Amino acid sequence: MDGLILCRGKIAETPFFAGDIPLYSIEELCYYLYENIYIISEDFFSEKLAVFLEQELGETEIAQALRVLMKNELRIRDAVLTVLMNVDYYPREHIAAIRQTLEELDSLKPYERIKASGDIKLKKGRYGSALEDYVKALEMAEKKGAPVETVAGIHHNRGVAYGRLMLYPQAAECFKKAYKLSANPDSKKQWLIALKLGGLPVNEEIAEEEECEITNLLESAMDHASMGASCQKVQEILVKRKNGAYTVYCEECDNLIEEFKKSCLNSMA
Amino acid sequence: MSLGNGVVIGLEIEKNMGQISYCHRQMDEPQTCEYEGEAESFRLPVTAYKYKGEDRFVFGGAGYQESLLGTCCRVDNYLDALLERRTVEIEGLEYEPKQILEAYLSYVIGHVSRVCELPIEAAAVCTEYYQKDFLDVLREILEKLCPQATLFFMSKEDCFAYYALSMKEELYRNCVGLFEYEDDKMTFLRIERKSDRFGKQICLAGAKTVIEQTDEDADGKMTAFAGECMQREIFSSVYLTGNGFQDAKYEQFVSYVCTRRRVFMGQNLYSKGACYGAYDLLNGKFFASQILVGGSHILWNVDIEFLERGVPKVYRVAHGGNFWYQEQSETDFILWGNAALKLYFTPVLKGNANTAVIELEGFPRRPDGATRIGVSTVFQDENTMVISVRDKGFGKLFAPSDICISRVVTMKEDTVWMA
Repeated sequence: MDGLILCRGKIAETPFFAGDIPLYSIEELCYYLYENIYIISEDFFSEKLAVFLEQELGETEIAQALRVLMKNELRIRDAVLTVLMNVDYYPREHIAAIRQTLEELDSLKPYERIKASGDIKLKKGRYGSALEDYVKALEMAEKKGAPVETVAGIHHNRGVAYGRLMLYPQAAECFKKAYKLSANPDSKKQWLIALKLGGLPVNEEIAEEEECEITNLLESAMDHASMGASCQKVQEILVKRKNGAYTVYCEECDNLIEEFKKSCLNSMA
Repeated sequence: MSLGNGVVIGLEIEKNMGQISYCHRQMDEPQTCEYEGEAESFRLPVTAYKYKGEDRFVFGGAGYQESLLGTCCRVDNYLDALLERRTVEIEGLEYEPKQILEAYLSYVIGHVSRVCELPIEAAAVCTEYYQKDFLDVLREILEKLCPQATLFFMSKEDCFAYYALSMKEELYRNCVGLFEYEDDKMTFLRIERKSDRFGKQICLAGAKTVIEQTDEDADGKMTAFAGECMQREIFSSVYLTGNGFQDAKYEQFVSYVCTRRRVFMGQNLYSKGACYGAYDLLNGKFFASQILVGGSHILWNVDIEFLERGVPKVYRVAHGGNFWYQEQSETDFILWGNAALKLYFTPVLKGNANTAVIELEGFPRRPDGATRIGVSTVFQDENTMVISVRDKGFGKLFAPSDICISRVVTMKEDTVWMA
């Protein structure tokens, strides 16, 4: 969908804080809910939010509707949809998608929901934030006596996040825990890769042929690295320098560095 | 008239003279302010008199007397200085003309306040200098002097239309004419009412000529001009105004104009018209259902396309029929996808609708729905609109960039250009 949406609401003078993020408009609230659907808890829909909606944004109807929900046993799904459906911000298909996600989330336990949030962040490249979620999810899962497969899954994904941040010793530790709990061969493979990439000694539990297979895999990946999109881009830029197009070369270098910086900052977030 | 508890003033500001008319709920029609015992048609010269060695200005007869006594020095043409954006030199010191105009307006408005003993509810300004810079200065001064008042800014043509069409219907059933003879310049304005598929219209059309008051054949030339202007049309009433008609008698002209027509002469049509106009705009009665064509009104509706729950709709940022000077808007939108600003220009009267697109080049790429843009429109004259689009970021989630795109849109006759 391409288009403009008319902002009809007010901008708050005093924001509502969602954690440490200040929200000033109803559109920002919708955006925050949609983007953070996995980590929103019942506490988010408080009297404080109702007062903010009513007094700062003039959204009396939404505030009243939330109060009614709060009086009874509030369900996140109802509260989120109450806000999103009363504001002309997300198109119908987005609301339908979020309704489905919320229905799925309804059947999840709190630690599963936090893990799901971490998984989304992992997919978006926000590794730092994903790691925080996995730590929280692990704490909760251990407290609540979650099934072994779930705990192993959290360890595995935590390992992936560390791996993407090139923190291989930590990644190896997570994959090892995941493998020990679930005996998942994929966790074992990732454990070995992390050990190799981190230059760490390979554990005696891993068979020689398995180590050989991983070594071959990594060598093949190294051989094909120059075919990757990032390398190709660097090579294209270098050709421009060779051809004397120095201005274009400098501009494209700056853009590439900027892209790397953004991606790096995003991964830390 | 039924007004609020305050008074509505109509203020005419011309090169040499100014005049105020007013009305409040106890009055049947506007009345023109009298100064120093003069008749109600008296227009107070804008000439200022400055006390020597002091930063104090005085106006009217009192100032003139002081100047004869040598305690004041006379200051003329400060409105010209204001229009030319220069200062005025008085006793070797530079003065901002705005300061002198403020003193003048403070004097005349203070006089009305003393006469009526009521707060000013609305002020309508009528001026021949209907241009943005001058109106901006007037607005600034009036906002200071009458902070509670609703302000309107009208051209002389508008004010005459408001005046003429506030009379008994028999006086405007057909065309209405106005001859203004001021400083050797004679102008004619014709009001014609029309009604077609575009709605009820009040059409204003004019003509101008130069006839020196000292010309021996002035009467003959005026008669010929009147003949050209009025031709064979039926006029329900004709009005005469301006200093040229004050003393001299133009028998031939008057005889021609008065033949089978009702003719009125007065020097307070504009200030009274401004009062009638302000009253009507406050109450939205007579003129609300009619479009003034040819005054200082916009003749195009300007809309921006947006999506409401995915369905295309339009939001009006400029309303045809409104005064161009006061027609400005500031609206926020959220960007979704690769959106561009799509504008629709629809003429109020005949003609085709036009569209234009403003691409938001250089705007930062952010996730869908995470860019708020501020779209503002302001008119420079009845045909020219400036539209600006500014990136406002998205709260503290995404900081705004400094990017702002501005386009000048010219809407004339049947076409729209964008630069």
